[in-house]
Amino acid sequence: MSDQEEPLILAVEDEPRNAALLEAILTRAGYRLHVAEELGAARTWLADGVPDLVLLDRHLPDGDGLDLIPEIKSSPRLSGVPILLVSASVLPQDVEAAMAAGCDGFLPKPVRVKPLVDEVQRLLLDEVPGKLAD
Amino acid sequence: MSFDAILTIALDIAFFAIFGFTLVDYLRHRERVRLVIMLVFGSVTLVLAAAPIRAVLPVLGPVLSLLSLPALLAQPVLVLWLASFVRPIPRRALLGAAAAFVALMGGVAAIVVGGQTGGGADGRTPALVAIALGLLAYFVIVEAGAAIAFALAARDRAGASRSRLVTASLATALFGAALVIILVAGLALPAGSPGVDATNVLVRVVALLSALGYLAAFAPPRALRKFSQQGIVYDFVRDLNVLPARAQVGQIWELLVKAARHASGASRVEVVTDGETPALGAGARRVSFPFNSARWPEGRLEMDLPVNALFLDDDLELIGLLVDRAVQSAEREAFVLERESLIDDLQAASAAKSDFLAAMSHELRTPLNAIIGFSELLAEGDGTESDAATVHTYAEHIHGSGLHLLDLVNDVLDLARVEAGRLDLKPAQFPLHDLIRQTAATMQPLADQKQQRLVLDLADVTIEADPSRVRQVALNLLSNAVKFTGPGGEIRISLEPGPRNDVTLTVTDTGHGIPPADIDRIFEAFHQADTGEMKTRHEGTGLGLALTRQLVEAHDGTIGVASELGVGSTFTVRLPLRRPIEITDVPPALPADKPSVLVIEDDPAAQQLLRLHLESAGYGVVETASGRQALAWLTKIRPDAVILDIMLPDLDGWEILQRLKADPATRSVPVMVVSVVDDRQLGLALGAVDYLVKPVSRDNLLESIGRLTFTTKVRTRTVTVLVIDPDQDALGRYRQSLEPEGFRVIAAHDAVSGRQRAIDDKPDLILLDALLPDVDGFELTSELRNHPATASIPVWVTAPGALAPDLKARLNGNVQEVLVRGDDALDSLRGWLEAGHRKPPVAAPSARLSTGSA
Repeated sequence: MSDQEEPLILAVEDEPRNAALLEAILTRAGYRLHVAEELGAARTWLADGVPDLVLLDRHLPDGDGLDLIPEIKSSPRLSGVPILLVSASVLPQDVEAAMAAGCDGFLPKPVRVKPLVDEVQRLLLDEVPGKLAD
Repeated sequence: MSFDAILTIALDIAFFAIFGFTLVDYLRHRERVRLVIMLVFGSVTLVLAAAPIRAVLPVLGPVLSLLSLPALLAQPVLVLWLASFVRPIPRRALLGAAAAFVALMGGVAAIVVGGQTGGGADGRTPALVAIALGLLAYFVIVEAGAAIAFALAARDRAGASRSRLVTASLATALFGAALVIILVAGLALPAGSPGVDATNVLVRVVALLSALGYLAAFAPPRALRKFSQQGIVYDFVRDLNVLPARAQVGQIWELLVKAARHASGASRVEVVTDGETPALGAGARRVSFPFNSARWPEGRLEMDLPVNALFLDDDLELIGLLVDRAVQSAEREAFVLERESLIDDLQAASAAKSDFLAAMSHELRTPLNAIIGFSELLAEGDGTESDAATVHTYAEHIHGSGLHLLDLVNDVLDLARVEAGRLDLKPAQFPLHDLIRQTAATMQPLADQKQQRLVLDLADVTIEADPSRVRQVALNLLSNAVKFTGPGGEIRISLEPGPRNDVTLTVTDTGHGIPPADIDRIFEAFHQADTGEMKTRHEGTGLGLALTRQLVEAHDGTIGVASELGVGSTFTVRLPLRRPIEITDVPPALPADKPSVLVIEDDPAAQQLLRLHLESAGYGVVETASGRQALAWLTKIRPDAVILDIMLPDLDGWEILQRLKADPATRSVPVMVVSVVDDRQLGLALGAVDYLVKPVSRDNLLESIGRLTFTTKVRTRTVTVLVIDPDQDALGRYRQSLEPEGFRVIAAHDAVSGRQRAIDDKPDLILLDALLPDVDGFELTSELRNHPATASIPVWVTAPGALAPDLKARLNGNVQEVLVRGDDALDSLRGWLEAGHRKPPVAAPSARLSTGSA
């Protein structure tokens, strides 16, 4: 994370309106956002880009967002990037699956502005990714 | 009293008792096997009885001596015969034993006679020794043979009958042993030696044991029987209990059959749970054990037993017990299985509900996310949003998401409506290609965003369907295609008319494809919850494909998908060109006063033309465009003829024809094919009576349908003629004339029974003598005319001579024809029956009366 530049967030979200919402909220909060509409696009971007945080949806046209988590966590270059899952799958077993996959935070859809901004902020400040504060 | 005397008395009593028991048993049942048993013990009893009787009535002494020897010698043969009832014994062995008996009797008789003349001192001549050795061999071999036969039979049986057979075997062996001891002692010991008394005691002890054994085998006390049955029942119940959990009821029946066969030696044992009765085996006696169970009211165990089976009563009692136990166990098992399957069903339903709710939660949250998020941004506006353009964009997002939410709710309602069978289609004629083009246009912006190409290849097709539902179908398929195809992909939409009055819409994308495991379930609502890929496929619409399929099927169409992972998917929708036909259960009423024709034709113009032609010729017409509808109606109404088109929207004509001809209830309805399809051969082969290729002229049509007369009916079913005539000779003449040609002639001898037969049998024609003994023919004709069941049956009146004009006037309007008796009359009747209705019904003056005959 550079002091000069605003933190860069990679949002993997296929629903255009929800992508627009993330962009509206997070740019206003002072972040830069790159939206990938599919897992494929996200992988391509991650091949040479390193975001400060990944916002991840689960139900994507080309697969389950959870599949991306181990790929990021196992890459030496990306392993420090915190991952925040934002999903409409909110049943207890869904949340468990998300935690088991190794995401650093989970927010249920519909997301509220303040909790989203707070959680992004917390994850960006957190020195030890992979650990969930409450 | 000496020990020897007590033994003797006990022995006598034991054999007397057995003899008495078996005698009563034989007299009660009169079966051959029981006769043989009685004879076996009768012979021994006779020998034993000789001494006491001789003591009381010395005069009978010589007779008894004469009888007791053959009786004693016959015993082994009789026992062997008895054994042959429980175990097949070679005929040669039986005959050999009988021959030995005769030879030995001869020998002994010769010795006795020789002894009287010769009078040797100690009597031990070589001849005597030879006879004694012969007897020894005879007793040993025959008794041993019988004992072995009993023992072998016991091995195959169970329960009381087994222990009884074992006992019989031992008793036989002991009896043989007693005889052998007597002989050996007689040969080896000098008369009067001290060993003789001891031998006598030994013989009596052995014989008494044998008698007790026979008693237990052939006249057992009840407690003994129960005891051995209990063991079997106990073992059976144990076997039932160790059946694996969730055992099928069939396994219990298998166990029962095995146990019953073991216990009875039956040639065949079968559990029957329906009304079927298995065929009886040769030389067998059928015994049936009803289940006495509400679950299997017809259930029973059927056994074929050998006709002369030994100890059958015991077996039957035991099997009755086994059946009761098995049925109890099976009922319990069936109940448990039912309950478990009910629980499984409930659990599946509950799981499906949970899946549905989980999926709904997910689907609702997606648009709510945008609605709540953007509205929150607007509400908390900190100045950034005051920019009018931004506010506008946010509002648009909220609006769009709201609409999406509404779509979702509508989808759920639609799906529920379709699944409850309450979807109202509002069919209209419209150009399908225009609708598809418009739908594609609405998707264009989204496709452009993803740089996808939409390629349209639409033939001009006008369809009759519910446009809003068809739009829903097209929109769903297109939006899915756009959604699941990556940037730069291509979506191809084509529309082409099909061969069977239908149209095929295909939507092909170059998306990710559907895993083969999921492809069968892709049209199910929310059944995809367990795989990520499927969740993916349904994102956004959730219920879309399930609803799409339901909508297509509501239009009598079909939908299918072919897909290859990484290559893309093709959805194919086939829709009939005409609106779906509502199938009603209630058939239209057939006209009662004229011949009726059911027209199965989907083209409105052709339908109208057929109706016009047929009605102008006096036929009543009912019509439907649907083969299914026609089949449903024909189970309830019976038109005089069916006119069938081949190319129909739902079922094709060939199938309708086949089904009509395969069902005994509709087989007799004559079917005439009228179609543009020129395949007369096939039509006639499938059972059509005629085949006309469109276009059909009025004359051809009417001539052809006019040909469907009684003669046609004779080919397809029996035509019945009711003769009401007191004259037996007249009846005989009708039979002679009509029956050889395939008509069925039934008769009544007076008006009352004639009317009843007419109502009951609904003949095709009534021949009525004008002069009946009870009611006159004129009155009967008007009664027949006025009764609904007989009103349409043509009536011919026969009269001895020309009728007076006033009588004729009375008949007018009520009868088809008046026949004056004579050979000509029969000819004209036959002629009428065969040619009857070549002329259009209305044209003839008597047409009103000829109803029901076309």
